Amino acid sequence: MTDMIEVSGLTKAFGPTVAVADLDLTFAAGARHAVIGPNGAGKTTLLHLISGELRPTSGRIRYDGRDITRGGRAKRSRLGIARTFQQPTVWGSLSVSDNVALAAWPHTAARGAWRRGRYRALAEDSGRHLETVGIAALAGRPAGALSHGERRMLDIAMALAADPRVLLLDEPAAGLTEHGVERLLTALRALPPEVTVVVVEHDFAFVSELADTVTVLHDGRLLATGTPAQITADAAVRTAYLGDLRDARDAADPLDPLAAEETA
Amino acid sequence: MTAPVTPATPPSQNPQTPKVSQNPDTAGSSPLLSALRSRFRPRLRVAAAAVVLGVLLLGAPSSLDDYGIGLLSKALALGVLAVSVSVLEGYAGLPSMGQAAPFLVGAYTAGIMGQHGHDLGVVQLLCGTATGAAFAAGTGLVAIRTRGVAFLMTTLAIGELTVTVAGQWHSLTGGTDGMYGIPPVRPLPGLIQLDSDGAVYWYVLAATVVAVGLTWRVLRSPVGKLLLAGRDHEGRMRSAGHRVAVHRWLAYTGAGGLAGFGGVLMCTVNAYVSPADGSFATSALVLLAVVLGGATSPLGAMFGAGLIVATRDWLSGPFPGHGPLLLGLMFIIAVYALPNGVAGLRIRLPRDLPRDLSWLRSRRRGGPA
Repeated sequence: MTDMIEVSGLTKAFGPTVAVADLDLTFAAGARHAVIGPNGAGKTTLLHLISGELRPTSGRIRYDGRDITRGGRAKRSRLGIARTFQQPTVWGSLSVSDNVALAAWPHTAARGAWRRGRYRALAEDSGRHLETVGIAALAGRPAGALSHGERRMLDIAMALAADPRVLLLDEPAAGLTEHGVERLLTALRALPPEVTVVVVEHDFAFVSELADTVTVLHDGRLLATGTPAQITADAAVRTAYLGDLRDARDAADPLDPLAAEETA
Repeated sequence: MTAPVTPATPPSQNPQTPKVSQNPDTAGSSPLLSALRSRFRPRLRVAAAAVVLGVLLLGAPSSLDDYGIGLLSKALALGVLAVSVSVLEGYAGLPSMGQAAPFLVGAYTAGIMGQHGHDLGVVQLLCGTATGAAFAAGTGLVAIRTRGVAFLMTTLAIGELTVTVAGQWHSLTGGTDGMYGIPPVRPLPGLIQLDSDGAVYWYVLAATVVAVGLTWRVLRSPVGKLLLAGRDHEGRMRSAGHRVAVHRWLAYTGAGGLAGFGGVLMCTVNAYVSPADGSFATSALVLLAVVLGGATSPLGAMFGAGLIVATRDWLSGPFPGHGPLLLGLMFIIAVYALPNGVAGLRIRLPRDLPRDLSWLRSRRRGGPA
């Protein structure tokens, strides 16, 4: 497989704190690639660097063979990198369907979306994406009035509407009900196989459902990359990941679902 | 996800979700009456406000003396300026303290044209709009790089610099003495010069209706949504691939053109232009007019400008010298009584309106005022 995104020597420091340290990582085209790690491991920072929210302190980012390190985020978005946010962000004073239409606007082939007729076509097309994430019934609501879970689904629908080649998801399952997680998984599985999905997630069950490749970050450094099965078996991962998680959220063994799958 | 999912039904046909804000034309299979109601409700509200304002403006000349008519004309010109500020503040999220600068540029354009024998109103309006827009296009390159208070200060500086230049550039503007002897305009080719306060009023009213109507139409189009989204969450717009800086610059330029248009009207009304027309006081008053009127409502901004002129120049007649005091009192009352501006006023209707209106209300509240 070809590399869709390749970061080399990527470093991001906030003052004395180094969030991402000299990271070399590739995301293959069409991969379902999960990035996991304890809190503060630099996962979200990595997404911010790829999508252009943050500028790296040093290092390079290549996308589909071209260097995009210096490109702004609007430009990267138009090149085909879409993303969702840990805190789902929507345009609160507009309706749900307007949100999706505006998200699709820069990516539509049709020129002149500022004309009513063209925009209406965009708004009608938004229903497709709202159905995918299961909030079609809310199309006319103001986005500011949505619940947290609905807002997350809208955020995802907006990313899908951009017809992306690379989809970056920042903890998409956080705060969703079980039903919501299932719907999200269905939506992501329905994506065209050539779309590259990079998902940052805490929920290991979700990761194991979706990902074919898992990368573990720890203190901004690459700890391990491999298939979900390889990662579960990795001793270093278990110590780093488990130790932190026990402190953070008093959870049971987060690798359990995977382990169970393996023995089955 | 908690909502019922209806996979096979396009969202526009769902009877539970009347589309209030967009696409009113597609309210499909819902009961006819509620569809009609949801389709026309926002237009109805605007229409009601427009009718009230229209009756006031059409009926006023017959019951006012020349001074009153002159004030009303002035209020209309300031109202156009207020609309340009409401575009910037309410839609683009850019609270400008220097919008009187393109206003002044437009006024001087008209004054200079008039002094050189170009007295056609339409041509003056077009040229004033063009110079106002060009001025904003230039200054906007600096101004739109800033946000919030920094934008406020930058535009304030642009406004003050413009006033200073206008006061110093004697050969062009007549300096701080102002520009006298500007002949009355002929509205259109073939018409005679406007020879009375009443005639000037009707001309200004017609021009204002055209400008505000055009602005309203643009803001109701997808362009308005683009601006609102950029105001709501600029970062998300960038992440979605929108060139927010370009949108803002265009909005700033367009608002500058509108302010220039208002300046031309002001010049026509006063037959006199001086740097004081573009002073900080003008910018501040107009910004307050927009806050009074409700930031995202052009008609509200017009109404706010009218209230201010009425309070400062007319109501203060019996209390000479106390105009600022009256203005201050009005603002205090307005802030407490109308937190969402005049356009935020809602008359309680008995039937099932509250649910839909409640979000419209929250939408009006959005401005950074």
